Amino acid sequence: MLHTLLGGGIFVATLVAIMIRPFKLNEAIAAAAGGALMLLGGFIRLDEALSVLAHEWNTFGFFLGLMLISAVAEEAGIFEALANGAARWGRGSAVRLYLAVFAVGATISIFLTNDATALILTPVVYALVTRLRLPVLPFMFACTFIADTASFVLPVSNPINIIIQNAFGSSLGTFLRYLLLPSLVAIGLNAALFLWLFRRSLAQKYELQQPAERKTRDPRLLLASSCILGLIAVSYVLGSIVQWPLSFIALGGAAMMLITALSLRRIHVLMIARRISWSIFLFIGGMFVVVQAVENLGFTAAFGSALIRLAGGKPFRAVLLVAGGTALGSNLINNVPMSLVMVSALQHLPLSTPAYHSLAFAAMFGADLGPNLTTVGSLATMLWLMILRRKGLEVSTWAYFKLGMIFVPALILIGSLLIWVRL
Amino acid sequence: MRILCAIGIRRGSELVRQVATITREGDELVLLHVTDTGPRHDLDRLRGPLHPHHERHDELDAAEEEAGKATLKEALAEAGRLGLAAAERLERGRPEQVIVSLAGELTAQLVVLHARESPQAHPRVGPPSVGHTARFVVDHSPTTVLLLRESSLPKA
Repeated sequence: MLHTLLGGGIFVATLVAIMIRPFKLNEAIAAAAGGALMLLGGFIRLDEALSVLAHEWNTFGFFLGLMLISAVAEEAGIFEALANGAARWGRGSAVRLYLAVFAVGATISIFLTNDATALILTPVVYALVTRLRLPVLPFMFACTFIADTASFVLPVSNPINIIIQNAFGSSLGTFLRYLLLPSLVAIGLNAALFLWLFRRSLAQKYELQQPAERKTRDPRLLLASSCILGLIAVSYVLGSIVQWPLSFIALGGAAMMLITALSLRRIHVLMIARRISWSIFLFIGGMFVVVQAVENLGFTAAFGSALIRLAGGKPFRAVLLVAGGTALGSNLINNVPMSLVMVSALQHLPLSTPAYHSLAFAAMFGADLGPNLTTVGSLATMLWLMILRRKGLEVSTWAYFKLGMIFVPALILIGSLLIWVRL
Repeated sequence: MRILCAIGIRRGSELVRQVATITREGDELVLLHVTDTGPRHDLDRLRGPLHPHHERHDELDAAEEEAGKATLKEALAEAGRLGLAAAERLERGRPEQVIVSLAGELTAQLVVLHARESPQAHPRVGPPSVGHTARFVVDHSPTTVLLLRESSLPKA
């Protein structure tokens, strides 16, 4: 009993440390410390932990390939080229530019994952709209939201999809059957809602100026990288159809991009290495170990059984519970640990294959879309700061916040309904 | 009289035209644009510790400086066209604080600014018609403040 309580305590302490980051502790350190404590406490054997990590080689490889591709693409100027293309397509209308930013953000999320949009495209768009002297906030909202809203179109659109798919395996056809329609609805609703919200701020014209190119920009690298990216995108789809490990494609594509950039002498290996978030491997690895340990203690199986009892045998309620619960949990902690817990919980349920698929895709949907609530959360903090700055008088800003809070839960409901229909 | 004209990112010329209706011979305009550092701070907050910072600060600085200079250039050209003596100042920081501090430093006799940067996105009257920058300046300015609402003047 004490042993179980201690294991549960380490798990909760790890999640709390990730959530509140005491003393500005990096999440990766918290996850690694949690994993180490689980090992020391005997909740998981060393060989079992190593086996769990080895089993996830596809996830680690995909993360590495993805970050390398994004780093070279950024250095090649692909993100600026796309943003400048959006500005040209906008033809002086802020509304058209806004729609173009949504389209570019969705495309990048679909083929290069949500992180590429949120972390690389957002500052590029910020620089663009600042130069065009347009209001910055609506465009920042657009980039950060569309990153997650468009992240369940393909398995490669979000690393979480790879983690969940690794656990239960499914073909691209099954993936699309469950998630394509919710994706399209989510993207359409997101664009329409934000366009309506910011309609007054966007009622402006801009003059297109010559974009300031960085000195290091090389048109040959831009062209070659764009071609390789196109090839990678097609390979992702083909690879998903024949169920190749997607890490092969990501790492192969990254190698092609790196070799091209190195041969053109436009990048240095160290420069690219600095852009890789190495701590993410520690974070994911630590969480794999922690979640396996709580699985050994029977916590996740009990959690799965509780979910099914709560659903009361009603499939739609089960889908909604899993999607909503994962989304909520992703906001409380992080979508990586939340997905791992959910996958572990679902694996122990005595379900038919279609029912199992619908719940797994519901978990994916909730984990992918959930951080939009976190985005709302972090933007909400931004908005709260603004509200405080404005001494409670910024009525319209408060209205945006309220509508944002309605948008994600409403989408969870609609998406769950569409996933349930596919059952 | 030294008039500190705090101009936003898009409506500098309009403000200068409005100020021209109240100036007298010998008045001197100081055209000020403050690059708000708030959005950049918010942008940085979007990155978590799991994601390394990118070296984009120089590019973003350049974009902000370019936009600020373009704004001031337009306003200065308008002042020249109207025959007003004007100097320009481009600053960075929290606009409301920079405006108040510069008004004291330059011993300006009047501070002029728009009630809101984007009046079309807000009600025309009532508390929301005055933005936080204008409200702070009204509250803390060491000198007289002239708050301008949406212009009824014809476009130049």
